[in-house]
Amino acid sequence: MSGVNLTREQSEKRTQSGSLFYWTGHPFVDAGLVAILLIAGKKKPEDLTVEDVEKAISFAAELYATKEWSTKYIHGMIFPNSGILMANPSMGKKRSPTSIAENLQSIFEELKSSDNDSPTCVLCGRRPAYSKKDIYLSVFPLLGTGGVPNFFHSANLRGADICAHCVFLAQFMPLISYRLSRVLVIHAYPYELMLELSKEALEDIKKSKLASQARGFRRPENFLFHLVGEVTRKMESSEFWENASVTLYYFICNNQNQILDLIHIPTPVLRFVAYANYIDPMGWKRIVAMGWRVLPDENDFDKFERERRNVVYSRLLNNESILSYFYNSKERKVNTNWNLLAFYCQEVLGLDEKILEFVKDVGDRIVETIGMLPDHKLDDEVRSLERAEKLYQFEAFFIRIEKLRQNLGIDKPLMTFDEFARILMAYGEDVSISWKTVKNLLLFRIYEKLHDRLMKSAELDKIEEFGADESEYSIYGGGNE
Amino acid sequence: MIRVKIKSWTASFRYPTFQSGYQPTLPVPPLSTIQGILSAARGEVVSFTEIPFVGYVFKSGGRGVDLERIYALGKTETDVIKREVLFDNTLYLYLPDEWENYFRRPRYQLLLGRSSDMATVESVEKVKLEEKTNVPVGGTIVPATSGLPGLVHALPVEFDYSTIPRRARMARPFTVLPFPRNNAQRKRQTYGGKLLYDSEINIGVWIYEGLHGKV
Ligand SMILES: [Zn+2]
Repeated sequence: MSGVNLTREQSEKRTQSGSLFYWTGHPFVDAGLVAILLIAGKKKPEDLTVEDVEKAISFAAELYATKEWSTKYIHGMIFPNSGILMANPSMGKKRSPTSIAENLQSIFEELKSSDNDSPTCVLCGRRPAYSKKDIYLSVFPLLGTGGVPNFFHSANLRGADICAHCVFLAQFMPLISYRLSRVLVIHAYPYELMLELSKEALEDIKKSKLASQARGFRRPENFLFHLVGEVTRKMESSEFWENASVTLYYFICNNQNQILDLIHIPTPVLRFVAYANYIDPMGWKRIVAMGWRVLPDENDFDKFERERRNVVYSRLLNNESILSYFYNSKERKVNTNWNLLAFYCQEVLGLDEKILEFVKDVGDRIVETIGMLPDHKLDDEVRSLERAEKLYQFEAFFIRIEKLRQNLGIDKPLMTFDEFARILMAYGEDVSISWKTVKNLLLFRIYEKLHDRLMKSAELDKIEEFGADESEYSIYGGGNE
Repeated sequence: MIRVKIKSWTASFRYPTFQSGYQPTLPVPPLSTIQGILSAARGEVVSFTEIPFVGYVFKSGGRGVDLERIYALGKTETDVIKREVLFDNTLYLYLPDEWENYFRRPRYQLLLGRSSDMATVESVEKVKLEEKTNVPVGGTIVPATSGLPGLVHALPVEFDYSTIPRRARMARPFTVLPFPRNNAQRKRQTYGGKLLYDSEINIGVWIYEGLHGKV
């Protein structure tokens, strides 16, 4: 039989745990640990010393005592009415770095005590729950309020069972959070990755004494995808993301409002975005650019990226295909090369490599055929493929190409009957992909090979068909599958 | 071993600490929910310490967000929260043979989350799973240390119900792996070590056996 012995793992961890802190898997607790590690310039919790902790406490207390942090950020967005961080507006007069540091210190002291009467922490499962305070959302974001005890197990009037270790660390979470219109915590595993993705927040704080605004990004997913690109280019490899787990927690927690968006970035998507940034950053930019309603010009890209929702990103996050964004059907040109397309198909859509090669091959045979046609005829054929919205129209395209080959005197048939069946079924059992996937791949190949000629004929058409109804062309406006 | 197939229209598995305003659901149940189902079937609180092994695979058809009115205890005012709900769910449990009787005639109503997420047993079958290496895992949680990529989160393993309120007996970081939807996800969620493989459902089954007698 198989599996992992959780208890053995646990006891091993216990023997090592001369260390003050450990990773828990909870995004807010892990975030606090990342903050302390980054302040100390260390990478592993077991390397942290009491001096490191004291340094972190005074760093945090200094900031948290300022008005900008206490009422606007901590109270207004993360820990409403926090007594520990003295963010409650009524505490304005008593609030000082010293008093906040004392509060933090006193929770830290609790790490040493072992009150065995207390229930075990529901997050780390290692320590007794902190009992000096009731644990509601002013102590730990997004927990319920004391006013509605039924949010908690058996209406526990003391709130959640969370230990001093986990409560303490959560207080440092704001130091590595990004402040967009809500608070963004990037939780990642392996944890080195989390250190990498969070360090900018702390660096910004050191510079400005204010929470990092994530360079003015307004959407968490756009910011994350931007970071993925940067980290990959810096590492000069996309391997970094091999088995990466990244989840975004985008929340607000104040007295009026508790909202949370939990955005998990699928690992195949991470790997693909990293690979795209690595092998064809310009091409990737063109693909992303098509995800906005209006195509940004060169100068607007950064602005759009910071501010606007992008369909390419949302489709990636929802496991929806972005194949049609790999080319620009209006201009009949491809945004990147076949290699990146193939990587996407295999890594994200799960298309078989052999099938992909086969479709590419068929694409080349189609190019061979229609390439022999005069410009306007070529344009007709490509247009018929572009317009195929129903399966029978798609099939009719192949039959016409087959006839063309005969008329043109090309030796071999476009494909055998078996191959024909295969191309209609190339997507296998996965119904979320469809024959439209194959259509997109073929169009990509055709645009890749015949772009110049297609554009030439389009120019001709414009002159010939001058005065024709404009809306006829609008259906080519890229992006829809 | 037996494989119990349980179906439900709705399911909702809360994260341990996101409980105010919006309650997202984990994509698959944590072990503590499995403990709850086993306890309901047998009619008394069970602990994984008594069970030589347990494994599960969960699949759902989709998810949505529902509005839920909370009647605050001891108060007249109500609170409305948003709750994420999973639809059209199937849970396969892999258990020792002696569990067959409990699931043929469960003592209490089986639930996949809240009291409204009622579930029914569709079948109980004897199965013999083959051990394989390099098989995809999904529809379950695995220890974060497994190295498989997914959603990492701290989750309770089981609760002690001898007190009110109940107390967590154990919590760990787990990687939550949804049932793979395509080959790409299957490839990413492939575990290099040995695992039992259910060829009917086409998935590796992560078996927890280390809990026996130890928690
Ligand atoms: Zn804890």
